[in-house]
Amino acid sequence: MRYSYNWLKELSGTKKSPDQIARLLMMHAFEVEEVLRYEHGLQDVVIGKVEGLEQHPNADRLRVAQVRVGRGDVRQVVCGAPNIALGQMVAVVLPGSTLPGGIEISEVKLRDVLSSGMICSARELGLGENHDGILVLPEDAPLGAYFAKYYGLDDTILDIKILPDRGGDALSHEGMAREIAALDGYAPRFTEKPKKNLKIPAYNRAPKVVIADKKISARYSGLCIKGVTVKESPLWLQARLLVLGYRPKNNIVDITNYLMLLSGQPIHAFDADKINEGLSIRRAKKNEKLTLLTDESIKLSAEDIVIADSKKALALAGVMGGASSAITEETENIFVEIAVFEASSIRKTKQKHGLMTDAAFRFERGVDMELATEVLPLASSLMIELAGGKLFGLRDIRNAKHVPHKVLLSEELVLAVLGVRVPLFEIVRLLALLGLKVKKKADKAVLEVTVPSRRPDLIDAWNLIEEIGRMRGYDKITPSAPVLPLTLPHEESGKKKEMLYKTKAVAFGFDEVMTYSFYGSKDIEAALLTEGDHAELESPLSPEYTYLRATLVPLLLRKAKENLRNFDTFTFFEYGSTFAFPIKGALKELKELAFVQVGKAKSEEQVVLSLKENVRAYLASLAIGEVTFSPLDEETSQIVKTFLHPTRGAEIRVHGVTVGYLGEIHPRIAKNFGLPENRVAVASFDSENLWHGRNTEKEFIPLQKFPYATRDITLWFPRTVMASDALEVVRTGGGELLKEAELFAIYEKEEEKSYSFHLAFGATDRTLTTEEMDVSFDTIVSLAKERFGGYIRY
Amino acid sequence: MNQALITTIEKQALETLVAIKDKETLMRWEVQFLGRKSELSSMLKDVKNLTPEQKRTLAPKLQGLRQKLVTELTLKQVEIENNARDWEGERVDVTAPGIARPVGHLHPITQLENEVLEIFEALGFAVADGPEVETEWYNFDALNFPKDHPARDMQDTFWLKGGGAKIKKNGKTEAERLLMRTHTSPNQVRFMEKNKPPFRVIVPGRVFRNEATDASHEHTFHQFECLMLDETGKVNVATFKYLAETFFGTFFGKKVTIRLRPSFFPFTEPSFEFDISCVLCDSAGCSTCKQTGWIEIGGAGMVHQNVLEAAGYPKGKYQGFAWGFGLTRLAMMKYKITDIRQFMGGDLRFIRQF
Repeated sequence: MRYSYNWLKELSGTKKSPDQIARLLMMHAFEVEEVLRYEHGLQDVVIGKVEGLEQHPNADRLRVAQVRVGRGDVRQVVCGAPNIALGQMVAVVLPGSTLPGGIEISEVKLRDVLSSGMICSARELGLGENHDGILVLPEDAPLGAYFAKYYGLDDTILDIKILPDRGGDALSHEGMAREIAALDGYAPRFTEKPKKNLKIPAYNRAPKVVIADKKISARYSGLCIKGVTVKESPLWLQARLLVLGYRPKNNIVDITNYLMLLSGQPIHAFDADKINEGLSIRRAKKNEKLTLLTDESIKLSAEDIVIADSKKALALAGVMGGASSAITEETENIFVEIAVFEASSIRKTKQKHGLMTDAAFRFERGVDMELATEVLPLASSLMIELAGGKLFGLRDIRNAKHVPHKVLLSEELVLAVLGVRVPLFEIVRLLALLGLKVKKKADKAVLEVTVPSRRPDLIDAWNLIEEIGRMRGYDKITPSAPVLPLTLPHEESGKKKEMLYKTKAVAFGFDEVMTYSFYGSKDIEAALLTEGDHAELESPLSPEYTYLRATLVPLLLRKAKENLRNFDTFTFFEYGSTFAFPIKGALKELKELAFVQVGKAKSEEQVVLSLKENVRAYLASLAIGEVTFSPLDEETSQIVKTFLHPTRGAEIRVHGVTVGYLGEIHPRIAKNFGLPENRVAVASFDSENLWHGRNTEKEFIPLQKFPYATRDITLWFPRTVMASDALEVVRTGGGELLKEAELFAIYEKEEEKSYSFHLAFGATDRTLTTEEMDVSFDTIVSLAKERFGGYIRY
Repeated sequence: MNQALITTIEKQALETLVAIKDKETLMRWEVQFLGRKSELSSMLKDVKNLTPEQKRTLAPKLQGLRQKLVTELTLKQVEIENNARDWEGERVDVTAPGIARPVGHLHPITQLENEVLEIFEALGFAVADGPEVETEWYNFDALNFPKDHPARDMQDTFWLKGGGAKIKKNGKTEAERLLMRTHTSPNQVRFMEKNKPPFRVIVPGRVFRNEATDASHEHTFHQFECLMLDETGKVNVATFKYLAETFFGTFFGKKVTIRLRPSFFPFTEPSFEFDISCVLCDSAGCSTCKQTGWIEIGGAGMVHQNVLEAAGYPKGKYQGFAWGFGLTRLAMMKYKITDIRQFMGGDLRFIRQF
């Protein structure tokens, strides 16, 4: 909220500068976001008196005025305003300056008569729309004084952030002044205010008020004033509102705003003649219509609270008035509402209709129901002072009772929470400064603190300790090391896995990227997924971020495309949450680990094999054993079949359990993401399943004592036989004596395919004989023939 | 046998050796001067026939000469071998690029998270994590955010469409609305439910705010939650200040002062904003600290008793602090990154700088 320094100073009696106040508040109360001078642009406007007035010799519509702007300083000014008169106090701008509207003033001759300055209209001063004539100031305006200074426009604005806990008291100049006075070390006139009572005429002519549901309004009061004149507010009031960013409207509306800024109590004025019989405060009917002050027509529901007469809804309670009962220039009789409405209802209404008004802002934070008692007499006297009329009636209905809230506070708890001993007398002093009543209980270390109604945020002892801590200053607390038992951390966290997965991936040359957790219909479409399988945001920032990612792959492919602009080959990965529906309706969050490899254009190497080797080595480094890569088949899940090239993909299993997949992306997917064919491969894992595949139990196997005998073998098979089949044949055939089998070459020729292996035979207790090795070798050959029709070529 | 003869042999041997350019000649030289039939060998054999006086003077000289010739021979052998190879022909240009091997880079956020984790782990903190899709209960209600209260506006929320999760609360199963967690704080209650004080734990993670992005705003960023709890009185504001100073002092490698300012969070009481003394200018005033000497770094406070109650603890029995700070912001400060969107941009030109 914006606060006027002049006003705060006047209310609090502080002698501190705006910057000093800002610093004080920052360290002890509120965050001050900005301190800035109010730019009125009227530095060169002074108050003058029209001492001479003559007809312009050469122009019928102009007159020549002699304006005194100081002792011995009379200026001749040519003026065309019809309302200028001898003896008036006026605002004069002197030559060599510029007005807010950009009008430059210099000494000129107007039809041969010298004019040194200009007498200003309200509009020329930036004070409203009136341009019918010059602005006439009150007779007691001080001659020669700076106009801006005299009217309080020379001011500094403090923009202070009020958090929701203090919305009840601090969103007002009085509340802020109270805080400043407390921090200054005295709270003189805030402790006890003399109560002014309203004089009510014997006959109460205020409309009758019926509140249907006591919960919706804790207090509803109002004044009826008859015979008012709606007109422009006096300059001091206009100036106060202008400085705070409010546009003056008319005296009635300006007073309601002024009193809200002063006290924090939102006020609404109705044209009393537009109220048909009594008022009722009730929930709106379904589809009931209301035209707001802004002329916008809205449809209401039972969540909204309205102020209605016997015929229709007149205002949206606590949020905005209606057009039909608004104050106009013709208004003669007014009803001024000073009430409190239920905070959560106001909040719902405000959000539903998008009406971010000052009143709603305060009501949703909670307005002190005792405030009305102070504001009623103020409103009455100010209205009558500035608009005339007479008080004809008053309503004041209380549906709730404020019970003074008492909190017990022990000196020991203050120490326990703050970690510093605050002497009892200091506790008492600090709380008293804030206007809390403090009583010592029989036990001397315990205080009974009575909280005023304006501070509903002070509920328990901890709230009071915060007040003590901040008032005293947190810088007075010396850091101190805790004394703690030596204990082990509590639980194994997913973070540990994450860190291991990530650091190992980097060791194999993968760069780590992070992408958003959301994607849009476009991504879902491109990845050939279905929107229905995705969790969806209620109000996304943009269509691109509508759905929660079910897999990391689509956005990683987008990133692959983007990076192709700068690199021709790269590998990267992401580890992150994905959101899936394994069971209808139940959203499950999983951690996915996904890799992308983009191979060079025109490379001999199959990108999928390159990624496979990277992944294999990566898994080995994670101690994940028994990893197999098997071609996609009928059993393969739909999503994998969609993403991967049908004959260049594999399911990855650990100990027979599927943990992920790997493969070149499907040409269709490549096309949809604008990626080249044959160059992009992906791998993806469910990190939890993968983790279960880790084999961390290690046992040492004695080193081989007897040398291995090595031999190579090349087996020819029909084309359909895969490397894994050939290896299986070699392993099975070789039996126990075969210690190592390394596939080192694959050839294809017409309908045949050959696999060449380096074989190593050995035993732990002896050197093998040639005969023993031959038996194993021959078994391999015969098994190859038996299983796949393979044969050996020497 | 005399001194003169030894000198002559030495001179002759060395002079001949200098001129030798090939292995064969060197072998002949070895035979001539060091071989069994060489003059030097016979002289060494004759030593035993010398007078004690001569033995004392000549024997060390003979041994010395032999030693010297053997050394020279070895040097010459190396020289000849070296000269025999075409070193230039074998040259590999070591200034040329090596054989490419990709080097992976951890995301800067991950790197920073690692650094932070290490410090906290050294201080005996456990590391926990929690779901990114949260229930309204854990994200707001349990953290003492009243329903329909402006406190909820402090964190613009991405709500999920549709029903929600069924969770058990006070023995009843209720449907909870789901949302993208707006902070890592839900894990305070999650951790408290599963563990009993005293404990200390940190929870790093991705959080979400429904706000438009620009160079300094992101809807997705990374945060740290830190929670330390014990019986009332043992962990207090002074403890927090100590811990925060220790952490940042270690992180930045220099003394850091903590400044606490009053603030409001529904889940802490008292609540603070906390600033650290500017580590870039040592509080002299610079552009990072906007000339104030202080950097706003996060929020903190003593865990609200209502939160402890929501986790099932009796009111007043335990007390501790919770604090959170933005890893993303810390990264921007540390690496002087001016556009926050870089972090989630996936541009390898960015990632590879870290």
